[in-house]
Amino acid sequence: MRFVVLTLLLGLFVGRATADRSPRKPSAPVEVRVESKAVAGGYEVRLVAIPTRDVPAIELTLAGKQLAFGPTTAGQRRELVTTVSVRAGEGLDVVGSARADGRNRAELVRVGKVQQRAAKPSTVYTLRDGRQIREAR
Amino acid sequence: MRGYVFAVLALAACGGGDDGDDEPPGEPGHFAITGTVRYEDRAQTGTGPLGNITEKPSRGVAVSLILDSSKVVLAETITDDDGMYSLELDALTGAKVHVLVATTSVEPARPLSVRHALDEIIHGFGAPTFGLASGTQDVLVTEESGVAEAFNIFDVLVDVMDAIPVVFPGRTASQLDAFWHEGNTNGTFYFNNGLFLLGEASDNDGYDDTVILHESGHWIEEAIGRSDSPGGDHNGNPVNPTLAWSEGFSTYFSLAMTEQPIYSDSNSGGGFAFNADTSNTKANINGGLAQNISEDMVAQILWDLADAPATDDDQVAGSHAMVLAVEGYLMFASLRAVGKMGVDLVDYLDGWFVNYGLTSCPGLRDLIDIKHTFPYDYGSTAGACPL
Repeated sequence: MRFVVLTLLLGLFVGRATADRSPRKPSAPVEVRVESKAVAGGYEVRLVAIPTRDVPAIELTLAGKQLAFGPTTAGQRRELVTTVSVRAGEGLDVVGSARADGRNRAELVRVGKVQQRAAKPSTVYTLRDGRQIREAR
Repeated sequence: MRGYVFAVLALAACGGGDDGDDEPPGEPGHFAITGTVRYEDRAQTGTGPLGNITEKPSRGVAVSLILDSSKVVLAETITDDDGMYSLELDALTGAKVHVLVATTSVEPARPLSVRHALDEIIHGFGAPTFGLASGTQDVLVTEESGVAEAFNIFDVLVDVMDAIPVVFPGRTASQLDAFWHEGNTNGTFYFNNGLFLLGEASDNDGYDDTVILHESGHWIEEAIGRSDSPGGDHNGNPVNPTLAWSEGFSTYFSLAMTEQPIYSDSNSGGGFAFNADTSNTKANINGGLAQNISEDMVAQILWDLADAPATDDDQVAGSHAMVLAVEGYLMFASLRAVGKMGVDLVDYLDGWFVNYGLTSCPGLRDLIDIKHTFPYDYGSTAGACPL
């Protein structure tokens, strides 16, 4: 068991290290995260945006609500908070986005009931040369 | 082969299948099945968000005819560049079969597969079952199936494969795999002949052609050219010149392949786009050759070297083939010991003059010195560049 756990941890570490050192796609100079907590009648959702360099302006968008800030220094925290209504037993995907220097980064958080997605049926076929194909229909 | 197919069908007819759907034995016959494979695509709009669904032919994908009862492959082929396929086989009339299409090719010119990012199994799509008879069986890979993006990634990479012998004469495509699935959260990056692409709800790159092509640009660097990039995060900010060079070249490669200057990346917040022709990022004219520079400036310079319409905003009349050819040259080039160690913009500009001589000096001086204020020293082995 220890060996299995160690192997899994090592795999996670190697995978993350590979992604960190590898050429990645162009991104926005801002880190974002969306947090939520239950309040009466719904959820309070908080978008936290932190530029990774000084930017002349930063725009936050959360659940359709917008807020613009002027010059923001690297590491300076900007926030936008809103409340979304969610009926009992229901759920909602809330998108938060921060735009700086013409580029944006977005995060999505689910509040309320988690959407249970039924696994799509699939079958694996093997071509004559051994290639394996997972079929969606 | 014919005997094999009859044996398989006979076994299925005798209850050899595992789904309980016994098929009545039919008459042996020769069958021809033709059709067109298409997939649902969402085009980039040039502003960030994606457009509405359109249908595109699926070029070069694997097509198989599957016997439903035993899951055995009865016949195989690939689509042509119009998405059309043709299968012929000897079998029993009326057997329950369906067409399976898959994002894989072992053609020497297109050694390519798009796989699930976790278990690396190739993506496929199954069309409805029909009773075996000659005729037309068209296939549409729907977005709802969750694999249309995989077929788009494959189609984008077909363009990359096809460009290699044209842009880099004498070079041939080597094996390339892309890894994507709906829900993949493991980032978009390039590693070891593999493109890894996000598929999460907040950021799905399956339809983002310029993102797919950007990562393909890194593959071109490794397979055809050269990169000394340390990798890591980048966002247009001035960074290590070798990182800026690699990322700027890869963005330019995506623009060259799409023959337009807008890089675009969609996400759930709308996404973003930038125009490498109309934007202008400057360096520090007093910062020296080893200064940190922006990847955006690299992409802008390369685009301006390549574009040449009558109303162009720069004086250099090149072509994408000319710009990309220098990347191939860098693989074996001796780099000058200036700037940062490793290949960067300085080495590329040296390569430009070595490959094309000094006739473009006035245009380059305007582009590099004036427009982007980069203090290039024009010290290549091609000789002094006249003022």
